Amino acid sequence: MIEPHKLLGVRDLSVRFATEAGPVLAVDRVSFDIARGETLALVGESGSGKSTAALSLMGLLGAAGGATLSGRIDLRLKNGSTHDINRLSARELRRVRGNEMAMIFQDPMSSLNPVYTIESQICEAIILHQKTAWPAARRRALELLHSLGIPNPEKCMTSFPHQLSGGMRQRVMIAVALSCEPRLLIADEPTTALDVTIQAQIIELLKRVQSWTGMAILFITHNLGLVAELGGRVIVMYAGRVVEQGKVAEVFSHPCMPYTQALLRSLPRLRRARAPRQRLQAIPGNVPSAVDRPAGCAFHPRCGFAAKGMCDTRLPALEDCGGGHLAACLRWRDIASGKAA
Amino acid sequence: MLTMIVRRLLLAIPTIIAITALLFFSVTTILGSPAGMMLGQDASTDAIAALNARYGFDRPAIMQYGAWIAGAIQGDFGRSFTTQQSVARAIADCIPVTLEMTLWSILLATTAAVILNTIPVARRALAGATTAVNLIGITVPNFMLGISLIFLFSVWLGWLPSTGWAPWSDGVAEHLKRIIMPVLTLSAYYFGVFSIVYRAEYRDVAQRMFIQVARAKGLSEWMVAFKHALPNAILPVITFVGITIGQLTGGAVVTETVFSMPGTGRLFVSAIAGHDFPVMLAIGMLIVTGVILMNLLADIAYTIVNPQIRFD
Repeated sequence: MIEPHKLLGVRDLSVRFATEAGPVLAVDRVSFDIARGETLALVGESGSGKSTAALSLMGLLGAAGGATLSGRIDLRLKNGSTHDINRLSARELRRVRGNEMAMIFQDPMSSLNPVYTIESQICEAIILHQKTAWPAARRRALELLHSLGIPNPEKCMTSFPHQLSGGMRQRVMIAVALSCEPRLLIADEPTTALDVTIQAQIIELLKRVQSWTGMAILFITHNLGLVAELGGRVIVMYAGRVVEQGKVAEVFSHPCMPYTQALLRSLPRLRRARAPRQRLQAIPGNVPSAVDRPAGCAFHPRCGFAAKGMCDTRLPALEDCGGGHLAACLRWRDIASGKAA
Repeated sequence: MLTMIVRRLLLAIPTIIAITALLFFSVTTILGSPAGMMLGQDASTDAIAALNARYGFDRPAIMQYGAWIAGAIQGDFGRSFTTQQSVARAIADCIPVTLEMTLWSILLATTAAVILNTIPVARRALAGATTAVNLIGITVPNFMLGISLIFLFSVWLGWLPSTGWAPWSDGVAEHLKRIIMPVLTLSAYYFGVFSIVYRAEYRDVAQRMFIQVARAKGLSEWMVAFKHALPNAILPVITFVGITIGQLTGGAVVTETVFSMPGTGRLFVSAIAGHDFPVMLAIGMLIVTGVILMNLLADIAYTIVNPQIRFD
């Protein structure tokens, strides 16, 4: 069960894949909440488990096969009842997907079916979930395209996907996602495949849409710049685990976990406060392979503060480092007070 | 679109002329003098000369081809050497038999191949069985399968007549009884080919993002498979169907011979056996024209199924 103002409560979500190289723990006991109308960014490098976590929220991992899920994903539905996504039947799950929560994906070029018109692809979900007839669904689709800033919505409706640009297609995908007024939108790297100028437009659009509809957004990205722009809360994932979480402003100004610190240092900034000719610092090493995770803190082989006999043996739990800002680091106090070498 | 069709049709003319010329010259040079073949080895030179003069075989080959193609364009393919019947007439009698058998077989094979490889549960549960049928259809020769069916349904169970043909005018039941086994035999092979082609394409399409998007909309697996994956995976099957219908006699030769059906395939076989080259040439031309036309139709069907493909 989750608190009344919460929309989604994820508790100890783990996802295992059986691969040829052995079992892989892609997501390891991840817990977080999303409140109504909130923006939560899930940040991590590729292979950190952020997309897997997102797909499991939609119940879409089972379709791929080979995945075992554990933990709870409690979602409050529009009718007020709460259900654990992990325990829904396939039929019940289909009523949730697209209706209670919707998802937009990374690649707008291949997200639309090339053989159907935009109209039929937007109307499909409306007709399915709201049991409306075609004319009503069509009106709703037109209205959506119009409000999403698509020039000449009538013409767009009868177009096929290949006739639209990448930015337009992502707008259409947003229209598809919004068509049934979901209360949670999961956006899996929605701007990665787009030009930078279009990226900014799409982010602005999502924020605007959120202000009209009051829906919550779970934004999955590897781009810290976007996270800063979105605001709200952020969760940093590393090797399948949550390593830091808190308000975006707080985490960005006082990162507690060395991984988050390193990520922020690797970002270019104009008007750097410190030495003007400082080089960007890359994080040494690579993300550990999911099959062969290091013991203890998964980040310790790449961490400048790692202590022998401590970080390589003990798994750090999330600790509150002030005002609901959580970090999973055994040495965060030493690091914060400057005692760590 | 229209310009494309016209261009393709115009391009078909030189193709047909080139291939029939090739056929004509290879048949006349390889098989030797038609008069010698028709009259037998003991024929007197006078008789051969007389026949050559009568049919125009004493003229240069290029003239003979010219005369043949001029007639062919007007629908006159000459007379059969063995039966003295009009070739055009003989072929016109055979085409409906072959065409009907081929169309039924392709319809059955395509439907079965597409449906069996699309149904969400069946796709996994029946994967082994479908593969087995694919292999049987492709590897077991048509005559083996045909004879096995005759053995099972005619000799053993006695349900169906073993061979022969009954036109629709003999009654629907009689007609269907004669056509079931040839259709089953022929469709087994087509099923194998279509199924492999379709399955490979389907596997590719199933990985595409819009399939995941369709699931995320809340569509059922059946809708995802039939509405979103099928139309994208069916394109290569359309090409194969086009080529197969165009070939007509290609797949039908063995089946028609096994079931003694009066189709173009059997006519072709007996023409070769009897060195009846007007018939061979006419069927050759029919196959070439058929393949070209059906390729064109398949390309047009592409543009209908997939709006991304446009000809201009």
